[in-house]
Amino acid sequence: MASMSLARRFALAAAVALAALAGSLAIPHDRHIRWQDMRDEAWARLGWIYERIHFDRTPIDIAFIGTSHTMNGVSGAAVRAALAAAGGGCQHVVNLSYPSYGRNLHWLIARELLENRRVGTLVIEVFENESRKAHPFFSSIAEVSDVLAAPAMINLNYLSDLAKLPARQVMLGLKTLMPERFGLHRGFDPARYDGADVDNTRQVQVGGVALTPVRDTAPPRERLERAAARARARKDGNMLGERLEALEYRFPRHYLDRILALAQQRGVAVKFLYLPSYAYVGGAPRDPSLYAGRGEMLATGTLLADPGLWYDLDHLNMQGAALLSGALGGMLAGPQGVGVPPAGLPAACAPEVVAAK
Amino acid sequence: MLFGSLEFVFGFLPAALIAYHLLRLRGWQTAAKLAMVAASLVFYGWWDPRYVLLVLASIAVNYTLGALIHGAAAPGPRKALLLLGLLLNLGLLGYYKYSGFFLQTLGGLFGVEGVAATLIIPLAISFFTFQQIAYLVETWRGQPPASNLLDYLLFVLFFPHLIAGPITHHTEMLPQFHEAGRGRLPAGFIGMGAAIFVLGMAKKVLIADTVAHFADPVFDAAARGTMLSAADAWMGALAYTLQLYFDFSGYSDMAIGIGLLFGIRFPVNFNSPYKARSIVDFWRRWHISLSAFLRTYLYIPLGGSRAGEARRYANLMATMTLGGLWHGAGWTFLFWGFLHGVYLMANHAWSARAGDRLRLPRGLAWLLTMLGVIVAWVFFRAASFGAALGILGAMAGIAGDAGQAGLPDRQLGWLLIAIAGLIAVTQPNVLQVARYPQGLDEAASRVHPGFDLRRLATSPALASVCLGLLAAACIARLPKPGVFLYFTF
Repeated sequence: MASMSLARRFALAAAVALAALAGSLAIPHDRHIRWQDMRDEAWARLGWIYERIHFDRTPIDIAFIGTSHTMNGVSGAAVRAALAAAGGGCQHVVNLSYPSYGRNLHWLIARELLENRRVGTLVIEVFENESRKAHPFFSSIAEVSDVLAAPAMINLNYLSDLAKLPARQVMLGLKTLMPERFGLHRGFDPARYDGADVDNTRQVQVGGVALTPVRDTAPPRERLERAAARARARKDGNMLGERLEALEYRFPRHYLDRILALAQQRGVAVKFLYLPSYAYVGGAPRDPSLYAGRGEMLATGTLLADPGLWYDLDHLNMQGAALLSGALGGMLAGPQGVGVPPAGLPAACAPEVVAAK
Repeated sequence: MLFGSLEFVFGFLPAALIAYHLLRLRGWQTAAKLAMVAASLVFYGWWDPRYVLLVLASIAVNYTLGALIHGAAAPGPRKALLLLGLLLNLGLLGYYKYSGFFLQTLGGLFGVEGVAATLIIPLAISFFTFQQIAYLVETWRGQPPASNLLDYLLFVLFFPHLIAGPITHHTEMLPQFHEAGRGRLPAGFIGMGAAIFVLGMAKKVLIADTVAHFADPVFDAAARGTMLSAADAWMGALAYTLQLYFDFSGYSDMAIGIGLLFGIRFPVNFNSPYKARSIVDFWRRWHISLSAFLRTYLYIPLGGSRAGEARRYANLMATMTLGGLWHGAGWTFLFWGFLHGVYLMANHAWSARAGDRLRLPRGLAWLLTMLGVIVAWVFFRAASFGAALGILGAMAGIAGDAGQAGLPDRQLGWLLIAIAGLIAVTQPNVLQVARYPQGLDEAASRVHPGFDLRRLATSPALASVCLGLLAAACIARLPKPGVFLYFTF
């Protein structure tokens, strides 16, 4: 062995390193621990999403999935009340949206929901164009197989997501063994649960801790218009040219297709909510063919054109959210209605049930 | 670009090595050297490309001045050129690194706020300025200058040591760069270089970045004025003491390892400083290249120990205080240097008076040395004097109702501190384990390790397995790299 050649020593070290990295991917852990492990600011909402799906038996008739646009812009309780008032019956509306762009995370949330709960309608957020970005926390929440099998083409996060897995697996293994040491909890604790419907439209709160000021302000119209003009000028919806458009949007389309396919398989009605930034209010998605024939588009039109309804360029304030949520009740009760709730459609909501949390 | 980042380890470094060695093996020496220069410029410019021109201008000016000093026959013009060089170098350093500090201080004296324009300090300016000052001084003293610009470019720019040292001396580096890019590269350089790189990376990403979780919250809490418990304050101070050592020496090890992969030997920069049993000993082991620079180009020109005891101590204080200021433009850095000046004075005075008659027991000497070092590090790390005094007060048990330091699991923290401390104090350092640099020339059979980490190195298979496991652990941590502390100096 003393005369082992340099090449052999390198090969042995590389083989050991690779084996250790690959072996780490097999370290088991508790999925609940994984979902509650993201604890910074609004990102901590993932833990609640998991608990709402798995541990809270309150029905989920209508679920919203989207980015912070929807997270801050739609109140489940307000939609429920408006829907009941519009004759759509008493339905449990839950907003499972989560900050940051990335259809791959929407897929994880949708799969978790649809594979574990009976859902009537899934409302998927759509804005001016599908984001080509992968979600920054995909690798924190995804199964190992999700990361390995993610599309590598036009996925700028593929390698970094892959690289994050070994450390994630080791840490999750440790956290599963001794969650209390890491500030996590084993199993569902109702005392820590934020309730069947959390409302992020007035103020983002996680675990009773306010993470944002009350969202009741609006920037001056001029500032909002300037920001909108800058955003429109910066926007390049077709970086690779028209001929490669399909390739450019392959990543979000892949995950959108998977969400729609699973919804179809589970018999869940799908609707799209067009909720762009202020810069694109009144417009339409850049590529409507992505959604055409796959679900009703809940178009907000010029409903949100008043700058006083916006907290910043991308997010509604609480007045805007109230207006949108109220309007959504009517839209969902409209001509196409909503999917039949799993428990059947009750005639009306009792007032105390309608009251917002 | 950080050494401990995915893009460096799996992108930049392999590309630079392949380009260099392919050109070297083809016998294209100049092209191989140019590849090293190009890689170094990309490495430097990755942070902020605007400053590439600054470092190139600095190199051009110093190279020209070196040639002019060497060419000038009369002592007068030679000295004038040297003074011009010193003025330009120190002026550049002063402008970028210290102008804000001095303006702020002046503004503070006169009660004017917001006077200091915030300048972005060009990366590594302290390092490349010092190297070039030494070059000019030695050229003025009669040493031959660089024989060509390409070698000089490599002497200053070569990326492994560019941004955080070791501060290299041209007399040991220029001959190596002159020979670089041609000839056979012994396998020992590659094997030892890769091993030292992995071990250095492990020190940085596995130890330094981990114990940082127990240092940062304490210093942040102190900066906010939070009262700390004695245990938390000690945890923060000890964690930072270990973080800084493993961070900086880990970086130096990685630099040495990468240098070897290119066939270049860098000087040793750390020699287990936390094993020191006196402050004098500590400075022989900590940031050795900076100590050597300050001794050669500041302490000795000031008179060193040649002009009596009082003058010696004054020189010592001046050297150490300026050494403190070199680390950063702030009063806490200055005080850190001053404190070490006081320690060194006390150490020398004790040695002069007590000599061998009154020697402290080894354990007590070590404890006293470490206590001094830890106290000084608190000033070095703290955001302000107030924060430093808050931590030191808490460490001394002078604290009221302790607030929340925001520390993660304290038991885990103490365990990690104990493990890291034991490694730093009882184990041979990475370069000793790898037998750098003597192992490059000696036969492997001459190793006689004790019961420590060096034993691993005697079995190539076991060493390879251990290095593979360490590399895997490091790679797993790379997606979330910390910041090298000395990048900012």
